[in-house]
Amino acid sequence: MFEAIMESADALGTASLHFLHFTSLAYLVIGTCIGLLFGAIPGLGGTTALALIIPLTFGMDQANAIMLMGGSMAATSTGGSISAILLNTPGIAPNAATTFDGFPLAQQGRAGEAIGAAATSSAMGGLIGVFTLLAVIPIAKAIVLLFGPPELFLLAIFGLCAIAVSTGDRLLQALIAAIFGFVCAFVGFDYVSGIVRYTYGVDALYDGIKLVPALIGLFAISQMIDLAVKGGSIAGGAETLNVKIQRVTGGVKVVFRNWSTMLTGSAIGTFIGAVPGVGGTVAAFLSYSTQVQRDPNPDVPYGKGNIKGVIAPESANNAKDGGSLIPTLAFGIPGSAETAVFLGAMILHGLEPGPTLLQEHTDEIYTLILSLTIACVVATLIVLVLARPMAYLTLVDSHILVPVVTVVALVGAYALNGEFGDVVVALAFAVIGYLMIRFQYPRITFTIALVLGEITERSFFQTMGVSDGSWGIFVDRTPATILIGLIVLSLLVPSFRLWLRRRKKVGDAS
Amino acid sequence: MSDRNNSAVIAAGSLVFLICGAIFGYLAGGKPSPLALAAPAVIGWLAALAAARPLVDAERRTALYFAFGVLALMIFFIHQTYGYTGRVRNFPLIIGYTGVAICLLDILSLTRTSVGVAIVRFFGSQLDESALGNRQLGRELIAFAAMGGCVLGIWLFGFLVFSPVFVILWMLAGGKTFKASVYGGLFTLAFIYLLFELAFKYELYQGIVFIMLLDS
Repeated sequence: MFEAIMESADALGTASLHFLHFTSLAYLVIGTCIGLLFGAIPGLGGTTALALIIPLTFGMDQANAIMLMGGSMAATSTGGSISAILLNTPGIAPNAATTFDGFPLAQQGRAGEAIGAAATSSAMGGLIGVFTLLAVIPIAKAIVLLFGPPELFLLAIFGLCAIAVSTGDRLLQALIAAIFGFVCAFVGFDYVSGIVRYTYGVDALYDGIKLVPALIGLFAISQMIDLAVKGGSIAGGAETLNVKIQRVTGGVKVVFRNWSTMLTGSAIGTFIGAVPGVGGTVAAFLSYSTQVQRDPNPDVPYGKGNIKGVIAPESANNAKDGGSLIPTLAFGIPGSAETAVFLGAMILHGLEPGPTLLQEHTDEIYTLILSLTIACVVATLIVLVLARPMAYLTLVDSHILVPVVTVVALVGAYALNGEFGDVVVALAFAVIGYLMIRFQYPRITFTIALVLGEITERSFFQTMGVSDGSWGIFVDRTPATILIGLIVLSLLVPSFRLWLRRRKKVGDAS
Repeated sequence: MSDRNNSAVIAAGSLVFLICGAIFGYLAGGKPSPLALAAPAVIGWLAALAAARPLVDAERRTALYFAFGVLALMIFFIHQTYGYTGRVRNFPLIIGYTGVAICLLDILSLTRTSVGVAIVRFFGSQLDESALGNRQLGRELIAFAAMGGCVLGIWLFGFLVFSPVFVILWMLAGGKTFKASVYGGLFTLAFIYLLFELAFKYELYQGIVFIMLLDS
């Protein structure tokens, strides 16, 4: 253990050297600004931002690419709090809980205080999440060594089931989406058998469906089609921007006065983030409801402008970023759509997800952790200084946003290999992505299966090779048996949830 | 159609589907010819669609057709997978058959039968019908056509020429003034050129028309 800690400290030192370069810091700040912007504009979000950023990172070295993407990931939910407070429209789903008290505060003329509190609690939550990740990495390294091909295969299946369950009432559809993700991952050259599959003579498909054009289509362009179909302005209610933004520093101070609210929110966020698929929305709402329960006699009722109602969800939804990277980095199981896209980007930069990542690319992992840490602080400073002009950006008309983002996304899809076929792939996945939005098939399981498809098939193949084709290997090994149990349990969650709801109804009635 | 006729369609469709499934399974167990597998797959799919339709409320029919489209893709995938041999097809077949089973559960969950209700309860697959009804097919087709047109335009004239044109046309169609639209187009052109061509040194696609002109 001591050796692992020393090794981690060494890697942390090497990673921190990257931050002495002006160019690297500039990439971090640019990434943070992009994350803030995409987080603040409702309908875009961090996944779209990452999908658009990936093509820009092709020519960069790994460290700069990680800093650009890490900055964006860390800043999205901080940006989302601005539109939640000023427009009553959450920039991204995890900011929805912030609207409950943030918007009433803005209506009372205390928007500055609310923004100050949101930005500061976001930063503090983010830092706590990142420090937890930092503490867990040396331990996770030891745990992942216990995992062989059968466990890796089952872990991928468990990750998908857990994420499918987390989509709420759409479990079957999430599983179907995952199946289609696998189907798409099978296309092209099979590294196990050396045979080309499902390409139908199309040269562009020989190397498989390329991740970046697919992700750009699935998240960025499909979202633009959705906006175009819905029409109008993204965030209505421009009159709400007439509120004054002042006493921002008062909001900063109030977070430290309510440190227990912030710490509880951060702990909830980190824990929830580490569970694959549960995500920031659940973390924020759980933190908010916990705060309401902890404070039965508040000075100001919750929902009427209580500042603790802003601190609790904001600290949780930023803390989840650090937590969600624990399964992503240690096992290659992304905790959210954003981390799934990030995982795709890491593969492009030669960083394969899973146990080998922790063993062979420690420097890059610590660069990411430091990027997230610094980005949390930078995002907060930017929000504190530029809250008002940023709020106006949220009113951008979809008739301007849709064509601009679409063409930039298509250029990004082309830039990867300089092949026009990738633009067509992006368009095809945009249509698929839109149909998934339209018919309520979650895109997250599709993406994760697409990213993990090759590793899953390879692990399955290796497992069958080791066991001479016997399926008994999955129950002979303890970690594998535990994972099978977890898969079964995860699929029983909806029934358990229903049973709880019924019991609650019976309790309420009696 | 009367209830009696509906019941006859449901019973006959289900029976044909089961028979086709058995034939498919029998053929797949031997040395399957993809062509021989296609017939029971297509007939079974049509029979299942016919049997499911009367059981689904009108407002859920769009979702039903989409679910059947997904099932068709899954069956097509299995059909294609049998074209490969040995270990190459093992994992895809596991995924394919699992997919068919889940697709059938998804279709059943859309029906107003006791089985459908039980599936919704057990797996949780509630459909937000209000979200389904709020979309306009016309707007969707226009949006798809516009995106397709954008890709076609880029293929013909390249990114630097067609991107601003697309932005200008879209903004004009959205009711923006000509001046604002031109500014939007020029901003996009400047952004793409400065970021991708100058800063990142990517050689952007020039368009088939200009490539042919340069070649001649």
